[in-house]
Order: sequence, then C-alpha cells, then structure tokens
Amino acid sequence: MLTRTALLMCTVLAILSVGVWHYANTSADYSYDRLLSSASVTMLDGINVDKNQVHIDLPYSAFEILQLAPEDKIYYGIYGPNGHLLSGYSDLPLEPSMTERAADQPRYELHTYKGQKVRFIVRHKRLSERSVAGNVTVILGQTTIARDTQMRDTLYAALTTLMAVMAIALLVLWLAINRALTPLSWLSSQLVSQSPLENGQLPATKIMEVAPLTQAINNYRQQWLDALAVMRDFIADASHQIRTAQATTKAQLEIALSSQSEKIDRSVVEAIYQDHTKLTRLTNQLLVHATIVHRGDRQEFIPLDIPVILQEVITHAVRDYAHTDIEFEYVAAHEKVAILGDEIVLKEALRNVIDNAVAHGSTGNAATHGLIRISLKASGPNCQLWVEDNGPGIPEEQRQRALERFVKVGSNTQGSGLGLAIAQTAAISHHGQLMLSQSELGGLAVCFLLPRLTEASNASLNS
Amino acid sequence: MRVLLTEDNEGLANSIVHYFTDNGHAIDWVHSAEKADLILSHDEFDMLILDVNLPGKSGFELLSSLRSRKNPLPVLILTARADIDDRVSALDLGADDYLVKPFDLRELAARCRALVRRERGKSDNEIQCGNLSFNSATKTVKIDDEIIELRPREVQMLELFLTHLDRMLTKDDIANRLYNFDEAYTPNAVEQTLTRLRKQIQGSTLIIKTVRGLGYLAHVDD
Repeated sequence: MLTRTALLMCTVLAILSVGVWHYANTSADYSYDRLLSSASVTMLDGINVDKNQVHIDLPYSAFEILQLAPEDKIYYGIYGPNGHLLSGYSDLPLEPSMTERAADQPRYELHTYKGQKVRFIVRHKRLSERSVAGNVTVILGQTTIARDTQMRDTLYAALTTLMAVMAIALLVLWLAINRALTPLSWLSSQLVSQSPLENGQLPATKIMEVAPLTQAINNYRQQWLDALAVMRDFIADASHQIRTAQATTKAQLEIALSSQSEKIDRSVVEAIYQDHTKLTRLTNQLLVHATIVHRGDRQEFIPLDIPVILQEVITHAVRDYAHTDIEFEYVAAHEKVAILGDEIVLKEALRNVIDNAVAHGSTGNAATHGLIRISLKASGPNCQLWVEDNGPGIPEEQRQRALERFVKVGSNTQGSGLGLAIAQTAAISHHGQLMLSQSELGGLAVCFLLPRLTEASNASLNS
Repeated sequence: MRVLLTEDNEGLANSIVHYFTDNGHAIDWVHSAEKADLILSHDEFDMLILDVNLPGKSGFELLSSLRSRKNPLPVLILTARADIDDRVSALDLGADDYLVKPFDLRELAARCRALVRRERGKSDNEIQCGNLSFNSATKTVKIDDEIIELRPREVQMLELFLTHLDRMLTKDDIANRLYNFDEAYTPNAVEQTLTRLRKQIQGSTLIIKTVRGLGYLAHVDD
C-alpha cells in the first residue's frame, strides 16, 4: 500500500515540477524583461533629431540598469526610420519591422546569438520632425545567464520544498498505516500462534475498532468447534454402538467355535443371526442419518406432492409388513398439500417412523391387531404428517429423550435408537419440527410439522 | 427359475448360490459385467441379479446396454452405496427392483420370484404365486394343487390382484374392472366380494391387505 502511495506521489511530484519550472521561467523572464524594458526606454530617450539628423546619445544610465546582471553581455542595434542601422551590431538575428507602430507594446524574443541565448527587446519611438519622420527602433539584447540563474534558484528552492513536503507526507502516511494496521497484525499474530481447533478465545483487545472483529472470529470459531464436538460425539456414540454389537456377535461366534461338540447348536446360530441383524440395522440407520444430515446441508429442495409420497411410502410399508397382522390406515387431507423438500430424505424419515411404529406398536395385547394410522392434515401455512400406533406409547417425561440419538425407551431393545433422531433431523432440515404426543389409538403419535408450499411461495420460487 | 448372478464378492456370491441351489433354482455366477454380457448373449435366463460395483464395467453400464438392446430380462440391482440416489438411478436405468446390501437371502429370493412371476404372467396363462396357481385361460384356481371353486366376480378380482401384486388398488380401480356401466353396484359389493375371496383362498400364500383410506394390496408371502 505504501509503495503504491509513493508511486502516486512521485507522479504528482513530476506534474508539479513541470508547473514549478514554468513558474520559475515566467518569474525570471518577468523581472529581467523589466530591466530590458527600462534600459530600452532610456536608450530611446537618448535619440532625438538635431539638425535634420537623427542624433543618438546613449545614456549611461541605460547600461547602469543592465549592470544589475553583471555577468551578462549586452548587444544592441538602433535603426532609423528607413530601417538603416544607425548604431550598434549589424548582425543581430532580428530585423526591425516597418509595420509596427510606436504605440505597440515592446516585443520580446529569444534568439541564439554568438553561441549564446540572448533575450531581445524591440521597442520603437516615433520621430515627428519635418525632416525626419518615422519610427526609430531600438533592439536591445541581453544574454540570459542571470535570468537562468534566477530561474534555477527559484526552481530548486520550490522543488526542494515540494520534495520535503512529499517525504514528510509519506512518512506520516507510513506511520498512520502502520498504526492503523497494528491491531490487525496483532490479530494475525494471535491467530498464527494458535491452532484453529484449540478451544481458546482470542484475548480481549483494548482497541475498540477491532473488538467486533475478534468477537466475530471467536464466534465463527466457536461454531466450528461446536460442529466438531457434535461430530466427535456422534463418532464416539456410533463406534460405541457398532463395536458393542460387533463384540457381542464375535463373542458368540467364538463360543460356538470353541464348543467341544462337532455340531453347533442351532439356537446359538440363531442368536448370532439376531444380533447380526441388529448390527446391520444399526449400520444402515447410521448411514441413513449421516446421509440425511449431509443432504440437509446441501438443500436441494423441489416442490413435492405429499399425498403421492405418502401413498408410495405406505404401499412399500404394507408390502414389507404384509406377512404380519399389522393394519395400516390412511387419512387424507381435504385439500392439496405440497411442500418444498427433498423426496428421498422425507421418504426415509417417514419409513423410519413407520418401522418404529411397527416395532413398538405390534407388541400390544394379542386381542387387538397392531394398527398404524398415517394421516395428513393441512393447517394454514403448515401441514402435519401424523404416524400413530396403538402400542404402549412413550410416557410424556421420556418423549424428549426419545428423540436423542441411540436412546431407546421402553421395553424394545431391537431398535437402533436412531429412527426418531433421523425423523427429527429430516423435519428440521425441512424447516419444520417433529413432535411426539399420545395418540388416540393408545400409542405414540409422531407428527412432522412442515411448512407448506403455498401459491405465494411457489410464485416467488418461480420468479 | 434360472438366475444369472453377477457379483464380485466371492463370499456373498457363494452364499447366494448355495441358498438358491438349496431352494431348487438354477443359478450361474460370474465375476464381471463383461462375462455376464457374454453369457447373456447365448444363454437364456429368467432373471439377472446385478451388483453395481464391479471390477471393469459397472452394473449400471451393463444394465443400460441391456436395455438399449431392448432386452426385457428382469434385473434386480444390488447396491451397497451410501447414497440413496443410487436406488433411484437404478430404477431410472430400467432395473426392475433393487436391494441394498446387506439383505436377507430370503428377501432376495422372494423378490426374484416376484419378478419372474410378473414376467411370466405377461406371456404364460399360468400364474404361480407360492402355493396358489391361477390359469387365466381356464380361470381355474388351485391351492396346493387342489381346485378352489370361485364365483366369476371373485375370479375377476383374484386375476386383478395377481396381475397387480404389491401395488395399491383403490376401491374404484377394482369396481371399474369388475362392473360395467350397466351394472349398479353398492360400495359394499367390492368389500363383500373381497371378504368371500379372502375366505376362499385362506391357506394360500397370497395375502390381500386392506389399507383403510387408500385401497387394497396383494402380496405373495413365500
């Protein structure tokens, strides 16, 4: 940043130097032209007509004036009314013009004469004697040593001042930038020295301007740490669950293998099969959960016709549980219900809740069949997807816990403890919520409360 | 039925071959899609069990090349991928069914039977569902080779269910097939016919489930 500023200043300096050079030139010309001017006037005063002859008496004072520039040489020429040289140098680089009038301002010209730069003034005087009438012209030249010196002096003085000002400005700028960026350097040094995963907040700063930034960084970091903590917990939970199940199966297999008899007891194999089935289900559920969480992050939602999805899910469930005596029932909504969502996630969540209802509902008394009622209700801006069973349900005080991962409530130990957690994750990723309550059928009622896709929101989506 | 299994995991393949052979099915096993393609070009099979992840050509590639050749062979896809989208793309590519690993061998066999049954029902007159058989030409119904007497409406209903296994049929769907415009029917008529049909086919492996509010679904539990 400082380099760019310095470059900019150099450009400004260059432009200013041109201006200063011009000014110095003009002012030197101005002062020395005055000398020339007054000397030429004095010379013209010494010209008069005497006895029908132009008489020239060069006054000493004219040269006295020009003496003010002692180094410089002076050249002059005086021309009569007919343009003849009356006195002075005959080879001056400029000629008197006959058309000029005495009333005109004197004319200044710069010429190279005898290898030197010479500033000339041309001035006229009108002679109006009867015998001699017309303009006498004085051409007076002076070399430019003195004026050049003055010009240089002015230029150098101005440039020196200018550069000093620029340097001071740069210095001040450098100091200011450094001072302004000190908090940031401090911040970056703090960040470099810490691991991003370290659970340390940045130290509080006294610099008020940076405080919001440190706070933002702290917040951001905390969110990451929280997400990481959730993941760590999940991995810990998952490994515990999977390893326990694996250990069980492995132990059973070892016992079966170390048995003395050649034949393996069928009941042992059946127990192993049961446990392995549990392990399989657990693994599947874990993967589904991870997938749903991941898909939720991506948020690729499309409008979904809920009754169609429900019918598909129910058809699959009825088919898969056809061999059991569980009855399914569907209560449709009175109007069209559509939401913005992820079909796969929603189906997976519903299937999990239905599986749950099957597992927990059918354990009821033998007199009544297991009954699962799936209903869809539209209520204003939301829709409710209910899955109810006639099992024992979950006591109110345990319902909140039942939504947590790996938490199994009630007597059933076959589940993975993930079904409701999956459903809840899905509901939340659809900007809705999952609610548990007591069903009028007697068992648990699970309700997905999801925001509906209304005409208005559909229009805003399409536009 | 004759099944071709394309699976690169030897342990799993051996188990499947073992199970199918034990259940009296002819099953051939190949490691790769290329081999399967070769065998399918000169041998007749009733269905193909196809793993997605194979060395060389993937199961999906084999499936789409089969379908592009208009080969109607029923295909059941086995997948182990975590992404649920796999199942959707399998069906889009023309698979008839899919199973996610790990699965029950019993389930695999049942799905295969259902697919073969569906395919045969299109060409054969005889539909075999577990221990129940139905001849669509003679309209005879047998359970364990014993002829069951059914009324014409019940036969119509049974045929409708057998041709729509594992699919939801609404009461209107059924009524439209069973009754023509001239016949007046009460909403209860369908249910009465169904009740009688259920009673008649008791002891068969065909289950007809009622889903209140949605319709009826027939499933073969074999």
